[in-house]
Amino acid sequence: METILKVEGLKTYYFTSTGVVKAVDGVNFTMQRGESLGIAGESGCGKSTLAYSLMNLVPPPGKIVDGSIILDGMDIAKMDEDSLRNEVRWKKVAMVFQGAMNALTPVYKIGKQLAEPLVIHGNISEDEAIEKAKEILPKVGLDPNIINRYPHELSGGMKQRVMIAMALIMNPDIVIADEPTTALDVIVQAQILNLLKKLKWEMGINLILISHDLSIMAEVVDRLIIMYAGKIVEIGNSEDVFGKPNHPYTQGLLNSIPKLGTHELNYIPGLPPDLRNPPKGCRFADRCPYVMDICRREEPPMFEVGNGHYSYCWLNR
Amino acid sequence: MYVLGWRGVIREFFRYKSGVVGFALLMFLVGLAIFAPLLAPEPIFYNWYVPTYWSQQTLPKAAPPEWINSFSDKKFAVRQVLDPINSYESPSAYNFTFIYNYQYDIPTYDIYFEIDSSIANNSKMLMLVDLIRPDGNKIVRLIDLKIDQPFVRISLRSLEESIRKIFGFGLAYESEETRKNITERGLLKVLNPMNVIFSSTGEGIVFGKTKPLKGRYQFNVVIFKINPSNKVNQIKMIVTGSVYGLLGTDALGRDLFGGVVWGSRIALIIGLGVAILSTLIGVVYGTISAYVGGWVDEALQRIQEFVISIPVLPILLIMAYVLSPTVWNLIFLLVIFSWPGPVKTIRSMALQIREQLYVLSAKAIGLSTWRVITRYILPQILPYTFALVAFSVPGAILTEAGVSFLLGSQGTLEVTWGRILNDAEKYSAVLTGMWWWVIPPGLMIALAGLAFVLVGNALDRVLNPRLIR
Repeated sequence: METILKVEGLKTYYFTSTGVVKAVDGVNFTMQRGESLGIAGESGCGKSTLAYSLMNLVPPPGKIVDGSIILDGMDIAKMDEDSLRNEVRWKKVAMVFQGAMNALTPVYKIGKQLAEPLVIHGNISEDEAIEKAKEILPKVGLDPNIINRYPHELSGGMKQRVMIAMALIMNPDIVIADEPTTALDVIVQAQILNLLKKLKWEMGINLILISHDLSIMAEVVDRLIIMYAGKIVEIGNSEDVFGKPNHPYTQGLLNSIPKLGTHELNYIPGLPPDLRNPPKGCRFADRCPYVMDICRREEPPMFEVGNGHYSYCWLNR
Repeated sequence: MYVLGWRGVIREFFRYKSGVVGFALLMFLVGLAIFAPLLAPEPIFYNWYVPTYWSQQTLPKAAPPEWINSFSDKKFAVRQVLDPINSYESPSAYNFTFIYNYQYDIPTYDIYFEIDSSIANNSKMLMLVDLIRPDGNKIVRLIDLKIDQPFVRISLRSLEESIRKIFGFGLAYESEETRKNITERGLLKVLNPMNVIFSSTGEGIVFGKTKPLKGRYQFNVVIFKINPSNKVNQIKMIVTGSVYGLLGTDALGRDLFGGVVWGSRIALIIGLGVAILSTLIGVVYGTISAYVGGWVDEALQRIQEFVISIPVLPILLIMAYVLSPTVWNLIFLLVIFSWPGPVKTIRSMALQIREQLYVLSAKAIGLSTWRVITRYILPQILPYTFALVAFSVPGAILTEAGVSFLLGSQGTLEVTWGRILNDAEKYSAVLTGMWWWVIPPGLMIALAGLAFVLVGNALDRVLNPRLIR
């Protein structure tokens, strides 16, 4: 298998007036060609920051401070703005943004917006680009004629499909989908998920799916990363992570998925640590039911707990 | 705006009364500016400060508008151009007779004779004018003048000899004491000779205190050829009247209607030019400041605060004086000081828009900063800038008027409302009751401001979603 993305020691911090928020703090993972990767975790764990880091597009005051992101022999983390714009963004890595309703500017027609990447990267005229954009719309299940419509004339699901079409239009190596189904109703959620699955098979796109919703992860991804407080806690094939969760946090997360037939809702007590001043040792220690002395003293290293299944927990010592 | 569409915006705009009224006023002003050449002769515009131009116009000075006759029980003499009713040519001279039928209470400001003649080189003709009044009294040799040019325009009031004769005629009816008083104090210079010609005889005639003498005034003109080849082609008598046109004239005999009409051009050019340019600069400046952020934002904001805190008028006056206050210099100077106006508002709008997902998305696509600003942020701000432009027009017009009023004309410049007011101030128009010199230009300045404020209000309500009620 060919590795297309290698992330090592990635640290992305936000330099706010009240302190440095360590949103992504030393993340390592690799991605193989043809596989789809899920990144899950609760709100504020650094999933989206990680996604933006992969394009080196962390909104200010955020910045990648350390580590490397190797894609196609280039280190995205260390590239300057011009080469990022001309070589990486949308050509190599495209993104479906969280909250597609707002990811289209209200002043232009869909066609013009869809064509934008082609115009600035493809060196073709806008009319040609719009023609090309028309061809891609059926692939995401949309009528090509919507290029003449304005965003406010489309439903949420349609807008999300437009965003997916936009992400595919330059044929990138990697497509990041950041919470692609949030704010959509369940029927449309299912349609979008099916579309992503279909595209994965038909077009062979390498999908990175980011979500807090574990149930949709199970549907789509091959490998799953569980993040907590800016760090990876568990990583493995999705059936392993779902079937044999190793890290107490993963277990707690899976446990809190509501189930039919029971009236009680399980949750993990406590709150995630303040990322401006994270605790020494394991960051989950304060909420962990199995907490030991060493957890508070030392950061857990990576333990291999199965075939390609790793966990960062002292319990595996 | 994108939701309403252009037609929707226009329809919404006219739903507001302020929109309708503002638009009507604006159209009135624009109409004045566009059709100025049809309403008043164009030379007025360029020659407002050229005295020789105005001396050729044979207009009465300080004359109220013509329509004042409909409101006043004292009737003002109106302008008349008379041809001779009788002409006779002998081998040595021409004889012309003019009849002026005077039926007014306030006499004409002046009387001109225009003579078009052919004169041999180094030769001249002699012109004599006798006046026979309706009461039979005569003023002999009212004019006694050499004509040595092919075209002459003789103003009765400018002939010292004639004025002496007229007062000589009048003073004969005054008491010894008055006569002494007047001559000793040199009062003749401030008295109006026309009062003497057009008043009935009696004590007080030189002050115009006797009754007006109505009836036929006969002017007998004799022109001696002297050289037999000299010829008079045409002769006309122009009675200027003491009222003129729609808005009267100022103390220098300039047609105020023409000035007000042509002034609208400058007002609109300056108002719109300054508003559009400064809003454009302010919008781009504010947007860049907000979008780029960081120390660039800090620096740009401090610069903006510095410029906006400069007291504009005194500096503007000095700079306009140094640069000479032509229209383009004024626009340039006003833009320099008024671009910071919209910056803070625009910056706060751009700060919100910058955080929108579609801006991040545009960056992710790989758009350059400039393209993100021009294609994704400015179009969102644009609708609001229409209202901003409308709102900043009155300020520009008022400042121009203020600078022009305070500075007046430096040399020969175009006529503007502010400069008309400056002249009115110089000649104490308010103190001498020349309201027609002050009110029309003042009213136009106010109307122009009002028009844009009303339009701006309506636009603001339509285009600024937070204000829709």
